[in-house]
Amino acid sequence: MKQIELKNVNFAYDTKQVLTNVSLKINKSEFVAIIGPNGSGKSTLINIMVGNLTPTTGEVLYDGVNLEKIKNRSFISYVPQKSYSFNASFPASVEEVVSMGLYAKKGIFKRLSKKDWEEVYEALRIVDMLDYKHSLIGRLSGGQLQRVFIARSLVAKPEILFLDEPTTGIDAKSEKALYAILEKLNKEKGITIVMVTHDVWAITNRVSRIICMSEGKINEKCEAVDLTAGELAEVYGYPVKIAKHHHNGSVKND
Amino acid sequence: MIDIFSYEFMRRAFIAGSIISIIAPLTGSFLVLRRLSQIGDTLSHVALAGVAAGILLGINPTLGSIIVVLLASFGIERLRKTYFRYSEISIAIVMSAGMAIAIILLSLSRGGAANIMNYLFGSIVSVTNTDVLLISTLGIVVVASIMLLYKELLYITFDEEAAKISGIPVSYINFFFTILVALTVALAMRIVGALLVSALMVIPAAASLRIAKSFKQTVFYAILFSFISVFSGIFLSFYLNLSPGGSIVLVSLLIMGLVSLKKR
Ligand SMILES: Nc1ncnc2c1ncn2[C@@H]1O[C@H](COP(=O)(O)OP(=O)(O)OP(=O)(O)O)[C@@H](O)[C@H]1O
Ligand SMILES: [Mg+2]
Repeated sequence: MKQIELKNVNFAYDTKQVLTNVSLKINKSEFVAIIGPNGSGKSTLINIMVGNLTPTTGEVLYDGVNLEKIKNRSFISYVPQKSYSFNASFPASVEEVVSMGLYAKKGIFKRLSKKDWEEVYEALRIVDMLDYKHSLIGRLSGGQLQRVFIARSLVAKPEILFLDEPTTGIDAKSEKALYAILEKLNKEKGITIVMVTHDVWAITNRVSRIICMSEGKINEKCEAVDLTAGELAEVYGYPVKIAKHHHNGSVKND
Repeated sequence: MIDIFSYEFMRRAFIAGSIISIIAPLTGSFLVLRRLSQIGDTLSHVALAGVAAGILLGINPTLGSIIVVLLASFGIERLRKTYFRYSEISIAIVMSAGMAIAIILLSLSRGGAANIMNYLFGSIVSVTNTDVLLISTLGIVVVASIMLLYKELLYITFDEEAAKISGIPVSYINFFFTILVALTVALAMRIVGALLVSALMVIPAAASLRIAKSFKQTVFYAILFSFISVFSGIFLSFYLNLSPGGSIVLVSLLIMGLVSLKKR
C-alpha cells in the first residue's frame, strides 16, 4: 500500500513558477533518488509530496486519496534539507531528540511509556547511535547529528521516508554508512525511500530509480539507473564530469 | 537568633516563596531557550498596572495584576500576529502601555505609591492570606499544565518548525504557554518584585545550562537553584533587613558564578 502519485502538479511561489506539470508515480518499497541542479525544484517537489506546500493546480494522491483529505499523516516522515534549525547549544540529549518523533503520534497530555522508549532505542540502534543516547546533541558531529535526525524520523515507524540532501557536509565514510542504513531500511523493512541528492555515483547502484529535475520539470530521459555522463549533462545543463578521484563521485561543474 | 518560623508572616512568605521558586524557573527554562526572556520583563511592567488598579479599586492587588497580565498576554499574541516578523515591537508596545497605565493609576490613588513599592521591590511582611491562597492555587495550575504539556513544549522549544510539521498544535500551545508565563509573573512579583521577576526566571536556567546533560536536567537544576536562592534570600532579608527580591537574585547570581567555575 501507500503508492504515491502526482498528477499534473504545478507550483509557484507568489509569481515564480517553480514546478511545471509534474506527474510521477512511486510504488511501495521503491528507493528513489531525485537529482538535478540547484534551484531546479527538488526541495519544492518533496515539500509538495509531504504536504507542507499545496500545489497551485494538480493533485497529490496516496493510494488514490488526495493528501489534503488525509488527516493522520504519521505514515510519512520527512528529514528536511536543513534539518537543524535549532541552536547547537540547546541542552537536549540524543534520546530526547529522537523521542520527539513520537510526540505527535502519542497525542497531547500523554507521557511516553516504557515501550515508547524501547522504540527510541531501537531507532538509535538502527542508525548505530545507541552508544550516544545520553550525549548532548550539541556535542555531535554533522554526520552523527544527521543520523540522529533520521532516527527521529524512523521512530514513529513511517511507511515512506523523505530525505532532502541527507549527506551534505558529511565525510565519505559516514556518507557510505548512511546510505547502507537507508538501503537496509528499504530492503529489510520495506520502507519507501525518496531522497534528494547530488551524489549521483554514490547512489546509482543502491536506488531502484532516479528522477531528474531540471527547471521545474521531470526529464523523462533519465529514469534509468545507469546514467551516462551525456544524459546527465543534459539534465544539469552543462558538461558533467564523473569525479572518480573524488571520494564520493559527486557531480561537479568543471 | 530569633525563631523565624514563629512569625505568621514568615510562614506565609515561605509557603508563597517555595511555590514561586518552582514556577519561575519552570516557565523560565522554556523562555530562555526560546530566546524570549524579555517577555518576563514586559509582563512584570504590565503587572504593575494591575497592582495600581487593585490599589485604586480596593481589590487585592495580586488579583488585579493577574487579571491585567492575562489581558496583556492576549494583547501580545494579537500584536505578534500583526507585526509577525518583528515580535520585539509587540513586546515594546505592551511594556510601555503597562507602565503608562500604572503611573496614571498611581497618580490618581492617594497613598498608593507607598503600597506599590512592595510590588516593585518585593516584600515578605506584607504577603496576605489571600495572596498565599492565590499563589498556591494558581501555582499548582501552572505546574500541572507544564507537566501535561511538557513534551509538546520541549519539541516547540527545540525546533518550532519541525514540531509544526510533525502535527503538534503549535499556535494553541504557544498561546496557552504565554498565559502560564503571565500567571507566573503576576504571582512571583509579590515576593521578588516586578523589577526582578524575570531575573528569577532567567538566572537559575542560565546557571543550569552550564551543567545539564539533557533538557530534563536543565529544568531540574534550574528549580533546585531557584529554590536555594529563594529560601536563602528570604532568610537573609529577614535577619539583615534587606529587600527580599534583591537578596534572592544576588544568591542566584552567586550560584551562577559558582556553577560557571565547573567545567561541563
Ligand atoms: N520560499 C520560497 N519563496 C520563493 N521562492 C522560492 C522559495 N523556495 C524556493 N524558491 C525558489 O524556487 C526554486 C526551486 O527551489 P528549490 O529549493 O525547490 O530547489 P532545489 O532543487 O531544492 O535546489 P538545491 O539543490 O539548491 O537545494 C528556486 O529558484 C528558488 O529560488
Ligand atoms: Mg533543495
